[in-house]
Amino acid sequence: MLIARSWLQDYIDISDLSDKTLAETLVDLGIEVETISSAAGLDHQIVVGQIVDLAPHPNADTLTLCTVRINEDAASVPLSIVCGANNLSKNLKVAVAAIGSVLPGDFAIKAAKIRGIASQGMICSVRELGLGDDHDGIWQVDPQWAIGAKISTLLGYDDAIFTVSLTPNRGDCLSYLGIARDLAARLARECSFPEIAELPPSGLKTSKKIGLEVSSEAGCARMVLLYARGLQALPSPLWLQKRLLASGLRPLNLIVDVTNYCMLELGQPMHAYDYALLQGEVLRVHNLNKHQKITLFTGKDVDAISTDLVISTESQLLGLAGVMGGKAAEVNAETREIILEVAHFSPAVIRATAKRLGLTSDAAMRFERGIDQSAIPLAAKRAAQLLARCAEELGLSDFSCSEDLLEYHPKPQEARKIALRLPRIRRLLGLYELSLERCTSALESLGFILLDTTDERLLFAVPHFRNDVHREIDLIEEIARMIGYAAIPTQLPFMEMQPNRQAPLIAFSEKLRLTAASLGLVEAISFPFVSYADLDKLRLGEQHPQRQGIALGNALSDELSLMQSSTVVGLLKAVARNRRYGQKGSRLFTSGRSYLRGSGEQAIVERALLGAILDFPLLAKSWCDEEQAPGFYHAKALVEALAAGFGCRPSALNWEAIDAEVYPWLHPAAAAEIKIAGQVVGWLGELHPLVGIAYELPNELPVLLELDCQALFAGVETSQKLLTFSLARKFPLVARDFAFVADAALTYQQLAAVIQQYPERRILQGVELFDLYRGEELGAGKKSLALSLSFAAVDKTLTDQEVDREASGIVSWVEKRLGVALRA
Amino acid sequence: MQQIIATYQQSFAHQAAAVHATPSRKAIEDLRIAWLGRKGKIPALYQDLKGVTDGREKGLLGKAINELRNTIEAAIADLQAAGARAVLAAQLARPPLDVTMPVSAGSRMGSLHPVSLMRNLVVDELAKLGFSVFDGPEVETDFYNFTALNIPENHPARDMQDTFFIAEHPHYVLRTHTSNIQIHAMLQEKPPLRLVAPGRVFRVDNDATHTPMFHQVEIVVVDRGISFAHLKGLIEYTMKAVFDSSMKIRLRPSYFPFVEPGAEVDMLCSMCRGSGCRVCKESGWLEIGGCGMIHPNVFEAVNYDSETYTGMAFGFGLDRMAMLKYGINDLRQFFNGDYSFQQQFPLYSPR
Repeated sequence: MLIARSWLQDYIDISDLSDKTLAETLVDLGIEVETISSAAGLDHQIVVGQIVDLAPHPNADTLTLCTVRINEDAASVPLSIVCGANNLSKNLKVAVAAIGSVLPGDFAIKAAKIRGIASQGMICSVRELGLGDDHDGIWQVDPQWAIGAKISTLLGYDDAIFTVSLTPNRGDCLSYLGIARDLAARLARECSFPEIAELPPSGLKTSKKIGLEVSSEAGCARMVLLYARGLQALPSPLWLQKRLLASGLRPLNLIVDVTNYCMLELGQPMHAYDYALLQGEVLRVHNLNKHQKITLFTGKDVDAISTDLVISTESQLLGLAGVMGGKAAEVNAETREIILEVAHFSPAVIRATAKRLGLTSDAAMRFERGIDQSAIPLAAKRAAQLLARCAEELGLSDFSCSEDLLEYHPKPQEARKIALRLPRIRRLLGLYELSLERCTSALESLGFILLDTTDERLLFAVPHFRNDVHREIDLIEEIARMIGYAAIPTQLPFMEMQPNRQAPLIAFSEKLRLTAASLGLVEAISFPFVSYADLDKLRLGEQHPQRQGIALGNALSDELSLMQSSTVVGLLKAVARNRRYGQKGSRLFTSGRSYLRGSGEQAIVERALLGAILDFPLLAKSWCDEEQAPGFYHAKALVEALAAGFGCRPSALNWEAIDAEVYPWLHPAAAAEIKIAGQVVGWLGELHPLVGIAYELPNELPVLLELDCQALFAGVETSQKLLTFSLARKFPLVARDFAFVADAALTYQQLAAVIQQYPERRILQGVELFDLYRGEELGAGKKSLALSLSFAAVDKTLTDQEVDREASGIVSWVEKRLGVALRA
Repeated sequence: MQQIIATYQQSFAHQAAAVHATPSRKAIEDLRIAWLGRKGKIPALYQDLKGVTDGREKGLLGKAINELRNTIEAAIADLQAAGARAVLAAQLARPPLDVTMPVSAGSRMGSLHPVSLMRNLVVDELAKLGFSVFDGPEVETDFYNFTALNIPENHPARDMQDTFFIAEHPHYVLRTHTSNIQIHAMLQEKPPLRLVAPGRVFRVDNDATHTPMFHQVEIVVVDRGISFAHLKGLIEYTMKAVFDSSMKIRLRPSYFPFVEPGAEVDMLCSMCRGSGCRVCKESGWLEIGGCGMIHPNVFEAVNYDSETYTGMAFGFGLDRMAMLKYGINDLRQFFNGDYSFQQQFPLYSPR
């Protein structure tokens, strides 16, 4: 909302406050001031021009070629300007920024060709001139204004414009009067309400002109109608236009401008109908029985449904109550008589309609936040007063207005009463010395009325305009606002000690991240949004569980339309981006969640994940290293190290070849599922070449892994329970090396398990694989596994004989059990 | 025999000189074995001595053999010592390494994301005061995200945040703030409560300074007698912990439906510390978050007695705080996984 300082001055004397002080005072009240600007900054080269000719642009349907005169001298050469607005017409007077002028935002106007046609300037909208938000076409300036006159001079701007941003609870501040009221309370000054006279006798009765029928009490609590005649849709007097412009609204005509003026001044939206266009005797406020199309004044057709509140006559739909007026009885150039509607509509009803239809209007915004019901007749009288004043200034001598208001008001609004306890205020604010008098004066300055005092209990009546005040805490906030937050002390609370109540998984996940980072992985964070195309790229079949994802109802784009079901997409995209930027060998990890459909009460299941990716090369070529590609085994080492940090030894982890249907994004021959105590805790593997191509990682495929934090935590806890620690060895370790030739299909785990099971085992301490060899001389489908077995006793130094006896025993056991042979 | 001893003296001296000229551990050991070993020349002399019958001659010869043996032993010990010195000298005699050579990336330390660093910094500082970390769902029902937080349906406050909705699940949204966590925590735990709730949040927004996902942290205290003064105290504690003890904060009245009185939190501009600069648009202050006293309607939604207990809540954006703390002026850099950017960060937040 834009607040012009000069207009605000009408209601409160702020002449002694600098712009900065005024802004600070507003901010202290909770009225945020975003900017302070001055319309005086408008370039003097922006002048009034008149469109003397129009022609379609030869190369673009939406553009018009305007011939614009900016000099009264008929001999001067007019400008040729290309314009895209849709409200252009011949003889219109407009604001022209000629070549060389500068618009707000340092936008310099230069000679330009637009779609091949030279344009010698720009015809401006209200927003382009920095005078307001209106950007619905160009600004049609007052036809009385002289061609060539400077806009800045005409507007006489020496004013400061405050852009304020109001929180949705403060509907009462959506007006000059509301802001003045709050300021006056804080500054302990007088707030002067405009003097509004009673309607003068005219012999005209609104009730003779129209009836009023409200069938939705819940939707409309109060409405008044006022009849006026002898009007014309002329431009308003300059003072009124200036005030609207300064406040960001585009002046249209006398009638609409007055309703807007009242809305800005008092916060009460109102709507004027052309009386001559009303087909019927009664104005009705009601819900529809069935869907009905309604044409809004903007020309847009919308479907009204039964929950919308509409205004109609017996035979016309006039508009969506409180949201937007219709085309049917819109004020127009021929309008001479009007019916003015001033009402209170239910915030929830207005909001539902506005939201469903995506309509925003100054009126709807105010109704949604709640307006002051009690001030409705006053607002209508204010409008009548302003119409009369303008009519007089514009010489509309046959203007007259009805002497009564036609009113619907079934239930007078009762003031809310709220009790307030002094000890509660003191304790809640931490102001233990706060006096009863200070609290009372703070609230009274804001219009609250003290009804009763019993000991330290105060009873207040809430002013009608404060729809946001409902309970004691609201009053306490008002007191705090008046005292100022800065006056409240700063302390730490005293509290009793307690055990930490944090879920253990939270600390585990945090430590897991730190361990991953200390293993050389770099943390990355990506948005957890993916697309259906990503699911295809990962080769997920229709029935795959990871296809059962959560789709967003209002995604930013197709690419960001689904919640991720794993960390893979984010990691692949990050690596692909790094490669595009020439960055090789990225080693990233990320912690994210998967979001999948659940069942029963848990409609959506989230699981915390830790994902990682190792790109090529794992090790770059250097003076001391050969280049090394990342492989399955590097990722496996990482997983073992991660688990080992938590006391989960490699022997507790099980590695099983994957089912390619379950993990279609992984290389079927170089991937594994990771289990602890029989439970899956994650997976790892080299990327499937097809997925690599899909993500622009066609060669030198990266390796990926993903761990389910909760499953891993459970696994780690299980294996921690089995963890024992032994004393340091007292006697030396002796090693014996052997190589076995076995079928290629024999896994290391099978071999190691058989060795561990050797029944006469006494001194075997460890088994280490130190070589894997495949060669023709071994025979087809064979491999050689070279093992180093280590031996030690707990009570003596072993002799060679003792070692050899157990070693050869193991060799024969293995040969017998697995049908392997010692390599010659 | 006398003569043999004399010859031995000479031949040993000769052999020792040869070994001395080109010392090696093996040559010295060979020399020792040849002379002093079990089958060496000296033991052989002692063997021969047993055959001498003349007592006087035996005494003289024995003395001479002893002298020869002592000489040889001493000489070999000298040779051994000299040999060890030579080996050591050879070991040490190598050109010095260029200690400035770059080393392999194989054992390089990884890094945490700046947002994680900021999260850990805040969480660790509050843990010192006995706060527990809580979290909750990111895909949330509108009860937890809105209704229980005093944001009823059809209230304009629902428009304060552009919300992502879930298709086919009309009552689910992506949480727009971490405030849903306080509802879960309060339904689960009895007061008194001290919690810190960091997490990812989502808003329909995507431009140079907004991302559809970002991070918040919320600090909540509920107990008897918690006051607005305590709110100010904890905010100041937190901001001093994140920056330093000269950091200052101020509160401006504002509106967040789940707190009352509510406030916007400003801190001294971390760049200019109040003197005015481009970062703070010359104001000296930066808006960092929202706070307030927990609204009684929220307590009533979670069955806390709003007469007995009062509470405070303070929330701010971790991403923005990390940008300020670590001097990064582009939010979008945080979320594209750029390796060289991310790699710069340590494991523990620098002060």
